[in-house]
Amino acid sequence: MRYAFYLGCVIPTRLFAYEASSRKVCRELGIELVDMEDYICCGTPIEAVSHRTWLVMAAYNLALAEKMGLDILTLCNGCVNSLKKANAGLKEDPGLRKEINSVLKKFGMEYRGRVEVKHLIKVLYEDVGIEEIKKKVKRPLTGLVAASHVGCHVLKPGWVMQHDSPERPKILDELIEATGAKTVDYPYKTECCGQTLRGLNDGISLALLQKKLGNIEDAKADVLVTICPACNMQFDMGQMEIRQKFKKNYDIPVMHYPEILGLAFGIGKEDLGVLTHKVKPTKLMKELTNGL
Amino acid sequence: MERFLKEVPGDTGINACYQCGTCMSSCPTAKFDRKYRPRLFVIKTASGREDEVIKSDALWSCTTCYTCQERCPRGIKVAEMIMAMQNEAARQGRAPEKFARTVSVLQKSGLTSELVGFVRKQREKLGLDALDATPEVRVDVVKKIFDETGINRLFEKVKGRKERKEKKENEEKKEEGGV
Repeated sequence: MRYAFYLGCVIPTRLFAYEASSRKVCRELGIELVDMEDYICCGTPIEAVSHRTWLVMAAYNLALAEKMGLDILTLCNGCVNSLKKANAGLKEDPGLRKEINSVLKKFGMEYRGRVEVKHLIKVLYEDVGIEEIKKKVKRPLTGLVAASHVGCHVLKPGWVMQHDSPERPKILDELIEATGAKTVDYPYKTECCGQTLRGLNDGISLALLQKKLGNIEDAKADVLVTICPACNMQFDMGQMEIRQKFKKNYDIPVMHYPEILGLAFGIGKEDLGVLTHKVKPTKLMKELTNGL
Repeated sequence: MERFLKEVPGDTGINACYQCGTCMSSCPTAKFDRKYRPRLFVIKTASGREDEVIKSDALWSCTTCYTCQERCPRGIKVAEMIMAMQNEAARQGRAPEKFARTVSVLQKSGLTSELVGFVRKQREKLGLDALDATPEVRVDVVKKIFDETGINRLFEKVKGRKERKEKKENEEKKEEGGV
C-alpha cells in the first residue's frame, strides 16, 4: 500500500489535526504516504467560474502523480471529487485530453490517464479492511456515541465517485464501529452542511448548518465525525458563529475520522492534535481516559 | 442551450425533463429560498430562456451537493448544467466577488490558503514537516495556467460592470441632487 499523498490546500495550512492523525494512523496500518511535492490546488474552488481552468489544474496534479507512478490518496472530499471527475472526463474524451495536454506540455507534463484517486476512507475500507483495523484497536471506544457526516463530494456524482451508496452511505459508520464506538442515525444525515455557500449565500449556509446540528443534538451524539476539511470547518467554527449570532450553544465536538481511529489505536491525544478544534472535546476526552 | 450541452461531459439530455420536481424537493437551498428553483432552471434552459437563469442572482446559491442530479429519474445532469450556466454567467462578467478573491489568493500561493508563520509553528508542534520548501514553483504553475486559460479576464469584466454600475448610480444621484 503505497500512495502519492495529495494534501490539498486547507489541511496542511489549517487542519493540522487531520493531517497529523492521518499520517500516524496510516503508519500504524502500513500505508505508505509519499508526499506530492509542488502540487497545486485541485481547482475545485474556481470550477464554477472556469471549467477549463479547473480541468487544467486537476490534470496537472494527476500528471504529477503519474510521474511518481503512484495512485493518489487524499483526505479531502473536494479534492477527491475534482481529481476523479477530471480523470473520468479526460479518460473518455481523447479530444479534450489533447487540448488539456497542449497546456500541460508547457510545464513538461503529460496526462495519460494512468493513475486512480482514492479518499483515505476508501483505502481503509478496501485496502486495509475492517478486520485488520479491529486487530489494531488497543483501546476500544466502548460507550462512545458518534454521529457521522460523510459529506457530498466524496459520494456524488455517483457515476464518477463510485465510493459508497450516495443515499445510504455505510462505509464511514462501519469504520467508526470498528473502533468500538456506536453510531447513531439522524434526520437529514446525507444533507449538505452548507459550507460551499460561504461567501455566496451566508444566510442559507447557516440555516443548513443549524438544521443539521439540531438533528445531531437530538440524536444525543457525543461527537460528530467528518472526513472532509470543508465540512469539518463548517461544523466546528460554525458553532462559534451560531453561539455569537443566535446565542445557541450546541457544544458538539467535531472530529476527523483518523483522530477517532488514532485514539482507539492508543495514540496520545496531543500527537493526534485532538485539542486543536474550536469546540473542545474536553468531556469526551475525560470520559475516554476514565475508560468509559 | 447548445452551448451548455457542449460544456457538460456526456449528454445532459435536458429535453427529457418531464417537470416532476424531484430536483427541487431534493435541493437543500430550495428548502430555504423560494426563489431558488432548479426545476425552472431546467425548463427555462430547455425552452431557450436560459438568459433568465444566467442573469439571476439565485444561480449562485447552488451548494453543488449534486442531489438533484443523483435523483433525477430522467438522468439529467442538473448540477452540471447549473455549473455550466455559472461558467457562462462568469464569462458575462457576473461572477460573485468570492471567486475574484479566490483567484487572487491562488496566484499568491498556488493554494487557497497561505503558508504563513503561524502555520509553520503549528505544524512543528504536531511533528509535521515544513511543506513550503518551494512555493514559487506552485505559484509559477498556477499563474501560467491562469494566463493560458484566461481566468483573470473574467474579473476584468466584473470590475468593468461594477464601475459602470457605480458610475450610473452616481449620475442618478447627481440628477436627484439637481432637482
